[in-house]
Amino acid sequence: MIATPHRPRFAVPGMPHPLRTTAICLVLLLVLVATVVAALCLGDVVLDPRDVLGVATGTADGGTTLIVTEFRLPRVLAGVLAGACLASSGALSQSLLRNPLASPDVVGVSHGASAGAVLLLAAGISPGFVPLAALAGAVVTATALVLLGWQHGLSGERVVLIGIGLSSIFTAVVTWAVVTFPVTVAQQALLWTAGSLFGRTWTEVGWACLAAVVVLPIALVQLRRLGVLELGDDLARGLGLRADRARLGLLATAVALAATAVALGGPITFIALGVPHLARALAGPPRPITPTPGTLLLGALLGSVLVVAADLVAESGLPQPVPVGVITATLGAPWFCWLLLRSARAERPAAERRTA
Amino acid sequence: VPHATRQGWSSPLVWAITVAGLVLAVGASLFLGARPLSPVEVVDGLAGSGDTTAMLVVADLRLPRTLLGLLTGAGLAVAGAVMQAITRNPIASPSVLGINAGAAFAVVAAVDLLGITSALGYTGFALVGAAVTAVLAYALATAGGNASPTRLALAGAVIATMLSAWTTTMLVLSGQALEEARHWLAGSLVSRGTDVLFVTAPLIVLGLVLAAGLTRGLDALVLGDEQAASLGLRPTRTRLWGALAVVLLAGASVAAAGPIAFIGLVVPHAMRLVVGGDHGRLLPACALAGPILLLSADVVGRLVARPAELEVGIVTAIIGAPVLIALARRAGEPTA
Repeated sequence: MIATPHRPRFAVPGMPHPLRTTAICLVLLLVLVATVVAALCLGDVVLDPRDVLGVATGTADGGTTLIVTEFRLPRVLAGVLAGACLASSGALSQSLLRNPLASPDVVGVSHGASAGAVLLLAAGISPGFVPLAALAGAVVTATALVLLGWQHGLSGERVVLIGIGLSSIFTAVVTWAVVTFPVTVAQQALLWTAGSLFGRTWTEVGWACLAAVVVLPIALVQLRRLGVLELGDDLARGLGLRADRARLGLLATAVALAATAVALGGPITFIALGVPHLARALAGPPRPITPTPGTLLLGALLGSVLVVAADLVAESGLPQPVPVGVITATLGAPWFCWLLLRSARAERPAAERRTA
Repeated sequence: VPHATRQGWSSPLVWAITVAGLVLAVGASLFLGARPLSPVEVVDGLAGSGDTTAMLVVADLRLPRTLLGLLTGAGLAVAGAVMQAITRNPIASPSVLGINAGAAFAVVAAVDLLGITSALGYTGFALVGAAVTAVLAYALATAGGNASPTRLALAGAVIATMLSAWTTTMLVLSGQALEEARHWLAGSLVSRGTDVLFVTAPLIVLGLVLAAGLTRGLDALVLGDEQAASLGLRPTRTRLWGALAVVLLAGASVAAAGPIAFIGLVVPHAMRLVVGGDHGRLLPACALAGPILLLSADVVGRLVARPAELEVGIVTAIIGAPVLIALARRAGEPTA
């Protein structure tokens, strides 16, 4: 009926309207600013927005300045960075693996990072090194994923299955640590694995900001390669692109983005999976799975808004503060279920055509 | 489905080797452990004539533990084989379908919110949690057509992710719940009293009987719904009874021993290679081989971290994940 999938008339995928994308990006930027200001105002001590703005101009009193700059601002910025990195990483990996359900948290990168962080906490090393351990865990997982999944290139389905296998090994490692170590250590470890922005410091935010500033432009530059890869390996070769090398570079970028985010806020679920879908829907037809620079930015802004807003709800909106990952999981899982149902409906007519 | 046509060996020798393996595993589970006991002490302990320490270790700890391993090993392995047949999906298994996460969530909620700490309470809540999650994941994966392996895995994974997030939150907020439930959560055969055995054993036996009655129907399901219907069998009815068997077997096993990963995935695949895809042979082979793997993993867990123990669920995940990865790689090879 009406549910025919959008297909570009030519092999080159159509682009969403650039004006519309720009307009939505501007609106999202305003929403992000509003959410950030709200997150700076709300909390145990509720501040007046005028006082918060006064901090920027240097006219606020000492107490307000301390609360905003030392406690709330690092946390909010961590949310902005984690959301942007996760969303971009998801957009890249979904396009690269040609699977709208692939994302770093489905293929085990987040679980690897959790295992790294938890092992470090269990070893009694200063929690300040947790981001580094998480980074190491994510990189180890991604390497294993590529080594195991590479058979005449990377197939999305195989990478997803192998990722599920890898995640269960890392889950076993986390379980081991939780069972073996004292309850206080176990609780600290579990809190990290739930995805939480609590207690972020300027040092961590600074490093993550540096990473994001380096990697996000690299991602933007590589988008053109994704478009070429979409044409097929032969045509890509004809255009002078080494397909496998380009794929590795893109995968490395996606993992670097995911690792930055996970090192900062732990595995905040569903942002990487869901936001690219939302961004495609917002940017309008023809909704290509390969992001354009506009839709990538749109997704990054949307990811930031969602993480900061979810963190606000997690911290101040409930009777008891909970990790932000719980909010995103609770809202994200039903959304993902709906995606599964919709993709099943879209596949069925195709299967019927084949048998006919 | 490739395994349906595969012919296996079913000579008496294969069955003799499997039974011998089971006897060995049971023996190892009784004779080996954190506390070194001589074989004579163990036999005395079993007979109830040894000194008190040996009797305590053997009769109160190792014997119930071995029985629990026998039951849950058979339960999980047969549940996996039935599930793979009714979903016609090689990666279906209790842990992949989110049954473990569902049971874990129910148990932690019971401990944290209702203050339940009795072994029987755990068992009941785990059963309910497992059943509800299995139904949800299966319904989600099959809605709108046949469930592809990826969709089934993702449906299980997404439900598991959400429930684990809630479980983790409860554990982070309540140290008491964490202290109480964490050993169960890792998956352990350490006996929590014989009443758990008395409750779960009938359920697992019932599930095994139900599965045994379904062997012909399961064979037909593997061939496809249309062929099953043309053979005069009702595929939907077989699938429903099969699902009930899975919930009984996997639910009761997880309830008794905690979320143990991968027995239900690895054992049916291994046994299909040995005895073939005929469920009349496959299910008994799984019922024998499941306990072999589970008891061996348990003994390994007891020995590698002496004097402490590594929970059996951790050992099976580390053994099982490489098997899932190997299956995914084999499925990815280009076929004709």
